[in-house]
Amino acid sequence: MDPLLNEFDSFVRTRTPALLRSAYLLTGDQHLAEDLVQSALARTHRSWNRLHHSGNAEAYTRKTMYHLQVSWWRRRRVPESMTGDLPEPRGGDSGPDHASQTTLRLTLRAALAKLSPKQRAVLVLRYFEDRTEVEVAELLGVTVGTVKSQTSKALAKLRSVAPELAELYVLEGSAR
Amino acid sequence: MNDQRLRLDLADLAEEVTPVDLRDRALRTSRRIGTQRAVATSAAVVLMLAAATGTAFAILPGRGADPLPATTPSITASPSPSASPTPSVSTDPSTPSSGAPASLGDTATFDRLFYVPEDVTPGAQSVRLRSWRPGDDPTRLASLPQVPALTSASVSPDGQRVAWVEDGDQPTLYVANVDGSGRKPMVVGADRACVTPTWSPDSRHLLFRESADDTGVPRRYGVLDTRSAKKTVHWWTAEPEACHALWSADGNTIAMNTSAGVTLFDPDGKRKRDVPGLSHNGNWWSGHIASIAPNGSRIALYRFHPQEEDQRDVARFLRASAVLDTRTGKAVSLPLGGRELRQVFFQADGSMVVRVRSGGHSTLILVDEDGTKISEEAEPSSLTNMQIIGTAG
Repeated sequence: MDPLLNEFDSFVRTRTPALLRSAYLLTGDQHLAEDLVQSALARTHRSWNRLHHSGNAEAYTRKTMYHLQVSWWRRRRVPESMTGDLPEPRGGDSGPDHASQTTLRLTLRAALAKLSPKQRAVLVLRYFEDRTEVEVAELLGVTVGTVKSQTSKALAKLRSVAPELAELYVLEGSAR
Repeated sequence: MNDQRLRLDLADLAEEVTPVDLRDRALRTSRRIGTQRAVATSAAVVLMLAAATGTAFAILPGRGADPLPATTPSITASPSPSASPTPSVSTDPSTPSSGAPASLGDTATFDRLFYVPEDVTPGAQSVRLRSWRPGDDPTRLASLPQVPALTSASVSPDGQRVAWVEDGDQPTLYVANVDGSGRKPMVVGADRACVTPTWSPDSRHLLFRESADDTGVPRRYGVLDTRSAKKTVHWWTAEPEACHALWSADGNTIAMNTSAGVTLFDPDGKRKRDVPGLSHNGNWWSGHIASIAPNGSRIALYRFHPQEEDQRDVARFLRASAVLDTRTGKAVSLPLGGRELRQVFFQADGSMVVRVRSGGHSTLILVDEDGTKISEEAEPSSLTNMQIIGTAG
């Protein structure tokens, strides 16, 4: 078997789970997440000759994924299949039991669906992938100022569409 | 904001996705993209020939190829670790020579200052390290990958070498001469954001931290001997939860941001004391230190009111909003002349280079240990949108 293809196979099999997790947060849907990762991996494969020895294959794939997500959304201009309806807040006990955790997850999922792709991307990159503002700016092809403002808007939107999350996260928004 | 709770909930939500093997699907899509590109290229050739020969469009295939999605990012990989450097030291021709310094004293002078861009240039893969000494023209130095240049590039106190950490499958700490020549990987698996490489005063050693591994093994702090053949590392026995190290010129103090705001350590990582007056819930907070006095008695940092501002990105941030006495926590008065304070760097003789901005122009003020202005110098406009990352005598 072609050694380059072997390397690509290994890359795909080891990194796909992590890529899918980010893609799921970006799209909110299993099938859309698979499509996104598949398309990004395909482009990585096209450039594998150049990428395989650079140690930057994952960075390239992730960058492609974020760009594709924003541009697909621009072309489709339709909401994802994920429902944007927020679940009813649970009353009574607020203990961290399984049911309340599930409700919280549904609330966060629905709230994310109401963000623009760029806002969602900055949140995923900042708070899920632990990227710095400079790294996020470079990945999305924008300035650090834009990352700051998009983060601030995203947090404000979360606060407005899901006040229960605001309470939980004490979302202040970013002044800078 | 409770960042940590949001992080945990996003991680929890992300676990909803079901892992699938996308290998075959990715390869099929790759082949389709290849075909589309080939067809698009062929169509372009046919169009060119048709235009050249006057042939009717009727000969074109009935179904045109889908264009390559405009969404396909034009990305190129960062230089591989084995890539040869591009030594380039040249005077920046776009920058007018600055005027003669309006010196008010002759006991201290400006050191050579090193700059990288202040913000990301969208689409740029690399940026230039530059240097400038007031009275001279700016000099173009090494070409560095953009993100490491902005977040981790550190110039040795003798001004000869630069260290930085490149992200990748394994974040790698590199050292090169400031002109970009002699680039060498020194440590594979180095922290890229929290503890970026910090030079010892003798310009030989580098304090760094190991990057996190997937199993959560604690990350060690190490001091690398960059001149040793075996790249010897002296590992600290202490593992402080701390970021953004600064090493005082006398070699006795390392300052880092901690949960106390700013903490001073000895060169082996043993905690000495906290800088008073900083608190998450108090009037002032700081997670970003910029420069420390040669004897560790003062520190330049970005402090802010935590109830009004949020500057908590983990990455290095070299802006300064105050200079504090590290014993008392009191702010040192600076002769800003009503201008906005942007950066402060201590020089080896204890004087400070204070960078201020007004009306879109930056000015450097040389200030002695007593806080008295010695001289000031208008900065060339080509450096206005750059940040100083260090000084060298």
